[in-house]
Amino acid sequence: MSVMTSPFEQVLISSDVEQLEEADLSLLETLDHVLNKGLVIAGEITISVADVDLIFLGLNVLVSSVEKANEVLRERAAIELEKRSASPK
Amino acid sequence: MKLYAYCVTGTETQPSSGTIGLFNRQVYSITAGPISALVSDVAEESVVISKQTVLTHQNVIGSVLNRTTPLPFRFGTVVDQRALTSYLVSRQQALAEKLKFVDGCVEMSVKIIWRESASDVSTDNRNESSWTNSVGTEFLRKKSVQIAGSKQLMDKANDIATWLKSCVGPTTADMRLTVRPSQRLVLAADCLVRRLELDSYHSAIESARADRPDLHFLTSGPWAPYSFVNIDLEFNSQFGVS
Repeated sequence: MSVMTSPFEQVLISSDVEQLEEADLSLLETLDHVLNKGLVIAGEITISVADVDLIFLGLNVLVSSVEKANEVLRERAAIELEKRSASPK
Repeated sequence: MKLYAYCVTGTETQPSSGTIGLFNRQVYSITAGPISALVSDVAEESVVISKQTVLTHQNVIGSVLNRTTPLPFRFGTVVDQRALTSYLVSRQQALAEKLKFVDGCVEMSVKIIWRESASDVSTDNRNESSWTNSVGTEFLRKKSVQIAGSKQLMDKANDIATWLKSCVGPTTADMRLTVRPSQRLVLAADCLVRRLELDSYHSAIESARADRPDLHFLTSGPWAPYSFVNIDLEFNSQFGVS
């Protein structure tokens, strides 16, 4: 059985939290609450994923998306780094 | 037609008029005894997880949280009316008790992160590269040092958990701590805080933050009590269902 990690942990593993924007953290916290917790009626969770922006946040119910999530995060970090090194001091 | 379920409330709480839920459908309530569930109609087979749908789910619950404390359903709960009514009736006592328990409270979350990486915090792991060519007893020694390092990390995380509990605990009605000292996260704490105690809670967090500049704090809230509504676990242990 795969070990489930929360969206938060997925992001923490792959990025620098202090560099994340507040909006990202806010959405991440929302995901952490809304997707991981709450009342459950057995067998009545019916979801699908079509939004890559959320996959990158490390949706824990889709373990197979974790690699994709890390990939997107790495790409994002590289773009940020490029932007920073290109901007004048 | 199926229903998308947002949260459970007492019957006195009705959705604000004009509250719009997923797929732009009107939110209304289904009542069973003293308990209501806020729902909207859904024709779709499944709910796509997107920023918009997640925020809509949260906004509907948030609109109730502005007035009272509901028991939130997990995102994606799509159910037919008979199954929902059956759920509300069979869990009526547990739901009513839980509503009473969280009444006047909100959930506040804290996540504590190492400012340095976990491997730096656990100093015993630092010379790992020097063992890579070793075999036999060296392998076992490496393993034992790794285990000691993990234990050291766990001990430090447990100390932080105890410390956080002593700082913030007195301002909370309940607290769920998850200590997971792997990678970056030290622990996640979900606190049930009485609305009247929110200022004290914020002060306690600020003091804790000032005490430990070596730790990074991520705080959020108020939320509906997502972490305090595990009705089924309690129901199952009460009635011996597995």
